[in-house]
Amino acid sequence: MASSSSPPAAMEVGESTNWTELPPELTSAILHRLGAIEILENAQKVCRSWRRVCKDPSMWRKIDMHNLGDLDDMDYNLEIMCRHAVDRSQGGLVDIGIWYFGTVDLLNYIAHRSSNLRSLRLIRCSQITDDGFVEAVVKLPLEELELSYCSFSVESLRVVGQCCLNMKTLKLNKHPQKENDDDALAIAETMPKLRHLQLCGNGLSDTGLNAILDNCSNLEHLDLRRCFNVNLVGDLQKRCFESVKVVRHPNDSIHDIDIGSSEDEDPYDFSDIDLMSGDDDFEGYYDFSGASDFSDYDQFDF
Amino acid sequence: MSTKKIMLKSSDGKMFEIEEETARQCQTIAHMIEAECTDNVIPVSNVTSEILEMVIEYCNKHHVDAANPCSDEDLKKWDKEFMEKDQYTIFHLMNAAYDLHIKSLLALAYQTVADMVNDNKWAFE
Repeated sequence: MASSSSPPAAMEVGESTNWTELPPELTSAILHRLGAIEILENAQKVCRSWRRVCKDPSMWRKIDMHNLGDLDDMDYNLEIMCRHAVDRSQGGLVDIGIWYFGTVDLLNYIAHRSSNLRSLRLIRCSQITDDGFVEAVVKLPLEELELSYCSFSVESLRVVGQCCLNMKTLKLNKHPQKENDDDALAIAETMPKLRHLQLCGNGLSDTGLNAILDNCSNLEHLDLRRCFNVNLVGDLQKRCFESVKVVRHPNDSIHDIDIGSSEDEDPYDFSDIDLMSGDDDFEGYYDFSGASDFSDYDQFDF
Repeated sequence: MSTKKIMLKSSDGKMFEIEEETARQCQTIAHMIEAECTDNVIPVSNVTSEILEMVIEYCNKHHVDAANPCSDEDLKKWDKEFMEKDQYTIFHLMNAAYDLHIKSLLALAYQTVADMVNDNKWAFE
C-alpha cells in the first residue's frame, strides 16, 4: 500500500460506516459513475438513503444498460429492468443506451414514456426489426443516434433522418464492409445538421464521402476508422481537413471505441470490465428474473 | 529554497505542518489563506488526525512540480494503491475531500466506491 500511515485498529477491524450520513450530492455523484444495472442490482441495496437517491427521477435522466452480452448467464431479465429504469425517470429520460438485448416492444415502451429523449444508443441489438425501429424512433425528438453492429436497412436510416430534423450526432459502426455508398448518400440527403458523424467500418467510397461533405456543412467531427474503401489523399483529404475540425483516418487506432466483445465476429480484442454480479444474501430482494407483468413495479419500490 | 509552511490542526487537536503551495489543493484552505483569516494555524474541525494525515499524504504526492516530478501513469498507480483501504477510511476520506474541496481526491473516492459497488465488493448494511 502506498499510504505510509497505517490505519488505526478500529479501521482494520472494519469499524461500521454509516453511509446514510453521506450528503445526498455525494451519493448521487457516486451513483452517476455506475450503469443502470449496477444501480438496480447493487447500489440501491447499500442502505436506505442510497435507495432513496436511486429512486429520484433525476438519477434516471440517462440510462446505460451496458452489459457483456452473456444474457443466458444472467440472473435477471434486462428488458424488465430497463422498463423499470424508464419508469423511474418519470418522463425525464434524455439518453438511453441498450446493449445486446431489446425488442420492438421495449423500444415502443421507451418512446411512449420518454417524450424528451434526445439520445438513443443501440449496440448489437439484433432482435429489433426495421419496421419496429422506425415506428418507435419517429415519435422521438432525437438529436443523437448510435446504431452500432445492428442490421437496420438504409431505408430505416433515411426515414430516421427525415423525421428527426435536429439530428446532430450519428454513430453507425459496422464490421468492415464492401464498397457501398447507400448509407453515406442517405445521411447526406436527410441529415444536413450533423456535427458529429462516426462511420467506423462503413463501406462508403470517395463518392459517399464527397456527398456528406457537400450536404453536411456543420460537420465538426468525422470518424472514418476502418472505412477502407475511402481513399483519403490529395484533394479529398484537403477538402476534409478544410471543412471538418477533427477527422479520424481509416487506419487510426480503434482502441477507444467501446463496441462490446464478440470474438467470433470481431478480430479485435476489446476487453470489458465484468459488470455482472449476484449477491445470494439479496436473492428475491429485487426480482428481475423474468416475470412478464411489466405494468406494476410497486414490488420493486421500498 | 525555503517554502512557506502552514499548520493544520485536526479535530482531535493534532498539528500537521504542510507547505502552503501543497495545501492550496484544498480550496477551502486556499480561500482562508487568500482571505488572510489565519495566523498560520488552520483548524480542520471535521477531520480526525488519522484521516488528515492521509489527506496530507495525498496532497504531497499530487503537488507535482519540477522538484517533485511524477508521471500521470505513476500517479494513477499510486492513487490506486492509496485507495486500497476499508470502507470506514474511504468514507471519511471522501467526507474530508468534500469539506476541504479537494476535487481530485473527491473524484478518486467516488470512483473507488463506484468500482467497489460494481465489483460487488461491498459490505451491505
